[in-house]
Order: sequence, then structure tokens, then C-alpha cells
Amino acid sequence: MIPILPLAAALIPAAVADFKADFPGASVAESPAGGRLTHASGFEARGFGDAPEAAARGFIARYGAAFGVGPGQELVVRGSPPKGGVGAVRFERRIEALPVFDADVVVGVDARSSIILVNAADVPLEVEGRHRASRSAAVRAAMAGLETSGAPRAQRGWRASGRTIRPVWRVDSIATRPSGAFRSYVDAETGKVLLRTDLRASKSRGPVPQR
Amino acid sequence: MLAPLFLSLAVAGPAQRFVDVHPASSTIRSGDGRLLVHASGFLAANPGRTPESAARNFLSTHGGAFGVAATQELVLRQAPAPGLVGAVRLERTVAGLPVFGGDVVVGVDAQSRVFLVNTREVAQTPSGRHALGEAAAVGSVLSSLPADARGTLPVAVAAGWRSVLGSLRAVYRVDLIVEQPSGSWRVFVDAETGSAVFRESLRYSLAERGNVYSVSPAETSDSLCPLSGKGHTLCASPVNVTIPNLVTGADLRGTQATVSNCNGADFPNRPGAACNSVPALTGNNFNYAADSPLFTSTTDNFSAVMAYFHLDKHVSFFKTLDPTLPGGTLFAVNGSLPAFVNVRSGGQSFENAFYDGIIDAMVFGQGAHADYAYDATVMYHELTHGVVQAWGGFDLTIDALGSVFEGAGLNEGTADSMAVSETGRSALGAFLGATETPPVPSFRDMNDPDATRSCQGNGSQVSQFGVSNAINGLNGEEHSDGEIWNGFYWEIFQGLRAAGVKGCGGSCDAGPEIQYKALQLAAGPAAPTFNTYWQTFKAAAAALFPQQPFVAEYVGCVAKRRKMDSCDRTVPVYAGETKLQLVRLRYSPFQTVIPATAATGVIVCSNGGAPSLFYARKDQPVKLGTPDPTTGDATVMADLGPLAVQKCSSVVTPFTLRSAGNWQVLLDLPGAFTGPGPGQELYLLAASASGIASRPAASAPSTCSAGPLAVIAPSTSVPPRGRLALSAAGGSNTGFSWSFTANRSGGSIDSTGAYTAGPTGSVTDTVKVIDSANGSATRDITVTAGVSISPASPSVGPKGTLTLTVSGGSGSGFTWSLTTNASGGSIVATSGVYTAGPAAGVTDVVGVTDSLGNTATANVSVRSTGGGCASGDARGPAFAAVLAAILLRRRRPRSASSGDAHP
Ligand SMILES: [Zn+2]
Repeated sequence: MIPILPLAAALIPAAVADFKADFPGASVAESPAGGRLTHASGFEARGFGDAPEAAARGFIARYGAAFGVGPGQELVVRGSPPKGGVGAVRFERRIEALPVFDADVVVGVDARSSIILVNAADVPLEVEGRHRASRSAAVRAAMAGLETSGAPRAQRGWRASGRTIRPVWRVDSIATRPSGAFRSYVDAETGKVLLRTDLRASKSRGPVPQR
Repeated sequence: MLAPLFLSLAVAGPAQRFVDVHPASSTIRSGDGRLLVHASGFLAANPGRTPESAARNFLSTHGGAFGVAATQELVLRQAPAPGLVGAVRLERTVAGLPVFGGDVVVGVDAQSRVFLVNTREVAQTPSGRHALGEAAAVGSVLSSLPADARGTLPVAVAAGWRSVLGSLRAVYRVDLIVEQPSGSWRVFVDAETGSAVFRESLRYSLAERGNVYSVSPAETSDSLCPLSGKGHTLCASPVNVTIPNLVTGADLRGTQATVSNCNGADFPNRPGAACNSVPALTGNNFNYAADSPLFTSTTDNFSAVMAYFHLDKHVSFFKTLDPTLPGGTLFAVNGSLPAFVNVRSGGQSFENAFYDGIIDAMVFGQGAHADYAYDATVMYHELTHGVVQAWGGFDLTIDALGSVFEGAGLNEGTADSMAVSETGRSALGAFLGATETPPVPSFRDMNDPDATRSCQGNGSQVSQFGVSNAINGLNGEEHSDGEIWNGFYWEIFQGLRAAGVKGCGGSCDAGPEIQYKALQLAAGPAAPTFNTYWQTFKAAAAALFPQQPFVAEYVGCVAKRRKMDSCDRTVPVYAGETKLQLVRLRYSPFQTVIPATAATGVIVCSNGGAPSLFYARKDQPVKLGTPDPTTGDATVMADLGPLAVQKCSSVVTPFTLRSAGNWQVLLDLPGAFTGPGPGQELYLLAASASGIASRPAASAPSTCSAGPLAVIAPSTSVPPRGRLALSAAGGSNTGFSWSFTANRSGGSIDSTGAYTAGPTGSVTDTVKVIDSANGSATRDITVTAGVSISPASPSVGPKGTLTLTVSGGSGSGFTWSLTTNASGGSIVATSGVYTAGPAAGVTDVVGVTDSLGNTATANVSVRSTGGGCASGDARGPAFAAVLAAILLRRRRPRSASSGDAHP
């Protein structure tokens, strides 16, 4: 359990208001819970740095709270365009050195390293639960009902679930029945599957009847 | 005697200090011995917390050993995540410009300890200025090419530095593609003098030949085959092409794609596994024969060659759009994405193709009537899924409003968009469509009525999931929802093309460049939605075209006209309407909104009868709270529910909405993650005809234009009987109708703009398009010369031989015959070598037909006297003409060629 500053949650509305006041022309999308911004574009924030990564870090240091970047989250750069390039500076969020899955923050820069866009996953501030379930227990929970052929891959991390961030195992496995490439998130405290998706993207409509 | 002393002093510098500290390390020194270009076999613990800071700390101590000088700044280009083994790649820059080929790669282990350095010797003292400018640099490269080089296309130019024999010269790096002789070249030009200092081929691989369809059996690179009934005919033949970027040339392992043949077996289920490698044939080629016309072989290697060629081509297409690749971590943009062909499933034919994000590979099925690798559009689509995944994926999630599933539809829409950007035509899967029973024109078309719908729909009744009267809009099936994006993208692609807006510095269309940047900017964070994706697309357009603000304005206009800005994960359902919803991720992907005017009823039932719950809330969305970590069930804020959902039948009892108001409905499929698979269920919602507001009349849509109405032609010339798929954009952008203002060839044009030239050559046709606002535009199409035989009226003695040559027409597929054979002679059908028969004083008639059915004839008089020496006469003038042409071309001034090709 990571205690969060009691004031941190209250800071988000203020941070959002601050961003909107500084960039009144920006288009934003707000998360349906918590009021955090998940998208902002149609603005140009200059003067945060000459290089894309430095500019993006500077911008996040100033406005990150509006996008739910909270205390206790470390941002690790996963990719950045070259200087002078238009592109995405991609940050992975980490908590206690473990990744927060599906929670990247992408900061778009233009050729002058001005910030022009933010896409951020909707991640709450509060962290709850601890990593208790073993890898094998998590794999068992993820595999229930699936016939698999190879050894699954499991990685420890965190994932947003409702109003909190939960400790999870991310389990990837190829199943022969039903056929699919399944990614399951298993709560690492309770062993419950929180979410499961199929990473196979096909050409056609799959199991549902065609139009 | 001084020289050895200097040398030993130099050696005792930073390189020696590194060796002294790490005596067990293996090192390689630069040519002059002063610096290290490689070190490994050591382990340097550092106080750095991240791989990047570890690498920087290490270089602050030992950078001098590797020639990192105070004048150089190190810019991070790539780093592994903390805790992972990998390479921290640092680009050296001097005065803000990159030192080409001077990257420093620092290997770090899981504890962020440095264990390796690789770099290249870089001279320390900069010399020269960037005086030339980029345009002049490109010009000087073009003028340095051989005079007979054709089809040169500069794709990138960048200013920087390059180490040249002890000095760090200011240079420009120019990348260009040359059609003939075929190659991709990188040329470094001195930034002061314009002379080329270094040239390297970027195709560092063997290029073999191979047989492929240029798109599919139903589509050539120029056009779709004609429709016959509902499906396209299979008019295309394989073509022989260069198979680029092979590693050894012995099999289909390449630097951008790797294909193996499963010969009818199941596809491998483990990352890194492969099926059978596909060997080159004797003579080092991949000229395998197509499995046509059945397309049922489970072993044909043609399938593998087809997959290799088109996957490699699409990777190259992505690299044209963004030369800063590689990026991301997976194969699609950072190596060689594996593909499996001739895949079946459990001994049964496999009627699909997919990209798998866990094995990071593509699978192309062998179906009962079609091989899925025979359609390039399918491969372009699947590879794009791999690219999306490589940039972080369009993740799916659950939030307070239900499941956030629009990312799956956007993934499909993006894959379709990048596929049609490669062909320039709106139809996907014409070949697969033609093999279906009954045939269909395509499996999706960006330009069809389904692609005009908005997220919320307009009440139009369509057939979905076998239900014939469902209202349109989102339905939760990703390929179907993806069509909403398809219609938006295709309009922008066409509109910007018609307006002449080019991307990639002039070498690509603007549409795909924006789409690719939007993909990069949206991938990673969980769950992009239509609303965030179109705004990301617009922001990318603004950043890529800062000098042309109308581009982003046009994008915004099209998005608003297509109501992308009201994609808020709700779909209204009015009186008497029926809406379908597929739930794939436990909760509804959108909430239906029912505008009750009084107490009323609504039927909600499920297709499969899976245990499901109904919730409704008046005048605001049903909201999910935090899931209980033990049960996985979220608290639900609703005015009505949970109520059990019945299986659809004639006796379903409606749910009662007890008062007037906008009721929002959310469905819950609690067993979604406990049973096998992700779980899914299809729901039907039917609103009562009374007590619910009727759908308001639609307002007239606004029009958006990136420019005036224009006809888009993939080529402006065509042989007699040749086909061109014309399209239009600009103006009102809708309601196009096609006609001729001049039809000299005797051609035809249909309502979709498919033009077929008539039989008369060497004329110009003029086509006209009119839009819904009665604006018009015309375009001239040059119909090239018809087939002609040379010499036109030859004569030859009895039993004499002559070689006839043919020109014009389609230029290919010529077949010779004797239409009148009075002499008793013969002709070789493939070569036109004619031999007169014994009868003299007669006239034979020789005919030739090209691949399009254009014909020509020539009378050959068989003389009553004379010998068989006429063949020399026939060959002589033609040979002389060819020779003259070659000589003329070689004398063409070089400046003319650079002038032509300069953008
Ligand atoms: Zn797909």
C-alpha cells in the first residue's frame, strides 16, 4: 500500500482548471470518473525544452497532475522522436519499479519540440492491495477454461481498476481452444481475473455471423 | 624518433585508462590505435537508476576512450526499460546536428551495469559549413547519377556531420530510390562543395527474382478486374519481380519479412517457431508457379513468395512515411516480422488471416476456395496490426461508463486505412470476395454506404448479424465499427490527394503520413476512442503541415461533418427502432439512450442466453464504481436493475421505464472472464413504438473541401482497351457522376469512375465528373498507340525467314498467328519469327494480339524469285533504330535529368 498525499486527489480538478486556463483553445477529453484528462490537443505549449524528451518532461512536470500523473509514479521514456521530428514521446508509468500496464502517457511534439498533444490512459491516484498471489496461482486463474499449447508468460505490475490501482499479474498465453492469443490481468492479491482480451486481430469478423 | 613517443603518449590516454581499469575486457581499437571502437567482457557498476543514466554515467568517466569529445552532445535514441537487458543508443550531435554513423551503443544488464560499448571512430574537429542548402545537395546527388538512371525519387535529406579521413566534415545525407538500375541509395554530400563523399546501398541484400500477383488474381497494380455479376473476374496474371531485402537469397528470410510454409499444418503456437523454409529454385530465383485457378493447394510456395514480397513492400511503405524507424519493440517496425502461409486448423481449411500479438507473427489461412496470402490487401491489413502493436497497441479497458472497446474498431480501421493507402483503391479483398459463394466485390470498401455512418448512427436500417432491420451506428463488432473510421479516412485521403497536398517532403500522399503519425501518437495509452483518435489525427495533421493550416482545418471539418465529435459512447434509440450490441469485454461498449416521453417498455434480450444483467438510469449514464477485487464485480449506480436479461424469443417480457426522461441502458455479462475465452454475447434492444420520442429529422450535412473538385487518375495514359480506376475528390465531395466530353477511343466509363479505353489508339479521351453541387472537373486520358507490326509490308522469298517485331498496345503478352497462309508457311507464336512456305507469288497475312486483345495484321508477299536473305533486311533497320536511341539517350545532358527529377 502506497499512502498518497491526502491532498493529491483534490489537486486534480485544480490542475485541470490550470491547464484549461493556460490553453483555453485546447480540445480535451475527460475520464468519466475522476475528471482526469485523457486527451488534449489543439494547443501549442512552447518553451519546455529544445529536445523532444526534455520538452515532454518539462511539460509533464508542470501539467502532469491534470493527466493523472501522481506522486509515487515514475515516468520512464520508452521512445522519442529525433530532435526536429514530429512524433510521440512515450512514457511508461512505474510504481515501485514495476510497470503500470496499459497506462502510458504519450506527449506529442512538433518539429520545434512544442507540445501539441497528450494522450494518457485514465489512471487513478490511489494504489491498493499488495502482491501476494504467486506466479503459478495467477497463471492457473488466467488459464481456467482454456486449452493451451505453450508455457504462458507472466509479468508482475499494476493496473487501474475502478478508482484504484491494483497489483496484478499480466498473463499472456496462446490457446488452442478456444483459439486465441489471450492477455489476462489477474489481481495479485485475490487471484481474480480482472480483464481478459484477445490479442489476435483478424481480417474478418471471426465468430460472429457476417453481415 | 619523435613519432613513437607521440604514439605512446596518445595510447596512454583515455583508452589506456579504460583498459587499466578493466584489464579483463576485450577491446578493439580504431585504425590509428588511439581510441576504442568496441569493448566487452567487463561489468561496470554505476550509480545510474535507469539504463540511460547508467550509460551516461559510464560515458562521463570513460567516454574519452571511445572518442566522445566535449564538442559532442549525446542524445538518447533508444533505451530498454529499467530491469531489462538491452542497448542504450546515443546519437552524437555537434552544434545540434547528428554525426552520421557515430552512434554510441552501450549495453546494460538487468541491474543497469554496463557490459559493452560499440561505436565508430569519429574525428573530433568539425570542418566545413552547411553552406549548400538541402535542395542544392539533392540536386548535386541527382546530377552525379549515371545518365541512364530512371525514376529517381529523393526520399529524405538531412544535414549533419560525417567523419572523413580524420576530419569531421559538414555533410548532407540524401536517401533516394532509383527505379532503374533498381536500388536504394544513401549518399553523403560535402555541405560546402557538393561533391559526394560516400555512397552506400541501403539494399544490402541479395535481390532475387520471383513470381507474384502485383495485388491479387482480381486486381493489378493499375486497377481492379472488371466485375462479372457481383464479384470481380480473376483477370490478373502473375508478374516477375525483384524480391528485395533477402538475407542470403537461399530462402525467404529477409531483413523486413520472413515467411515460412506450413504446408497445410496448424500454425506454430510459440514465439520464435517457424514452419518450413522456402528454398530458392535452381538459378537462384523464386519463380514458383501460382496455384491458379483453384487456389486450393496446401503446399504451394508461390503463396510464400507472395507473402514475402507484399509484407516487405508494406514495411518499406511505412519506412517511407517515417524514416526515423525503427521504433517500438516488436518485429513489425524493428526487424523482420514472421509470417506463416498455407495454414490450416486441425486438418480443416482455415478461412481467415490474423496478426497475433503474443507470438508477434502473422498467419494466412488456406481456405476451401482461396489462399489468403494471394490477396496483398489482406497482408497490408495484417501487417498494420503488427505495427500498431509495436507502437504500444490500442489497448482495451473497462471504465466508469462500461467497456472501452472502440480501440478494437480503430485498430481495424487503421489497418484498412494503411492497406488502401498502398493500393490507392477503396476496395479491400477483391480476390477473396470473388471466391465467396455467392461472390461479392470485396470484403470491405472504404467508399461504400456503410462507411458513411457516424458513431451514433442516423436511424438508417441495415442488416447486422443476420438481423435485417437494425439501426446503424456503432454495434461493438470491431470490423464493423472500424468502417466508421474507414469512411472518414478515405474522404481525407482522397480530398488531400485531389488538392495536391503531398507528404514526406513530396514523396508520399499526405493521408497515410498523417494516419501513421496518429497511430504512433495514439498507441500505448489504454483505450483510444473515436473522439480522441480523430483529434489526435487532426493534431498530427497540424504538426506535419505547419505551413498549410488548411490541412488540419479540412480534417476537422470532415470529422465534424461525420459527427466524430459526438462519439461519446452513447447511441440513441427512438420509437419503434431496433439496436444490436455485441458485448466482448463484460460491460456494454456504449450505452443506448431511450428518450421516453411517458412510462414505456423496452425489450432487451440476448442471442445466446448467457446470464446477463440490465441496468438503466434516467437522464445520466449508468456508472460503474470500483470492482470488488475478490469477486470482480463493480458497484453499479443505476435507477433500474439489476434485472435478468432473457434469451431472445417470441415471449420476452419488456422492461418498464417508469417515467419520461432519457433512459441510459448498460448491460453486464458477469461470466465474461470466468468461462473460456474473453466471453461475448449479442444483445437486441427494441424500443416500443409508443411513449418514446420519434427520431428528429436530420439536418443537411455541411460540405468540406481541401480544394476544388478534381479527377484523380492513377495514370494519365493507357493502352487501347486498358482500364483505369478514376476517382474524384474536392468540391462537395459527394454525389459524383461520370461522363465523357470527348470519347475518341470508343471507350466506356461506369458510375464508379471505372474507365476502359476503346480500341482506337493514339487519341485523347476527356472524362468529366460532376459533384452534388453541380461543380465539374475534367481530365484528359491519353490512349497510347495501338498494336503495329514492323516492317509493315515485308516481302520474302519462298522458305525465307523474317523476324517481325511488334510495338504499341499493352506492350506485353503478344501472340502471333497466320490469319492467311497461302504459301504454306509458319510463324512462332511467341517470337514472331515467320518462315514462308514453298508456294511463291502469294501473300500471307500475319496477325498479332496483345494481352488486352488489341490486334494488328501485316501482309507478307512471298516473292516468286529470290533467296532467303530477307531476315537481315527486317532486322537491320530496327536494330539501327534501337542503337540510335541508345546513343541519343547517352548524350542527353546530365542537368536535364536532375532538372526532371528535382521536386
Ligand atoms: Zn484486422
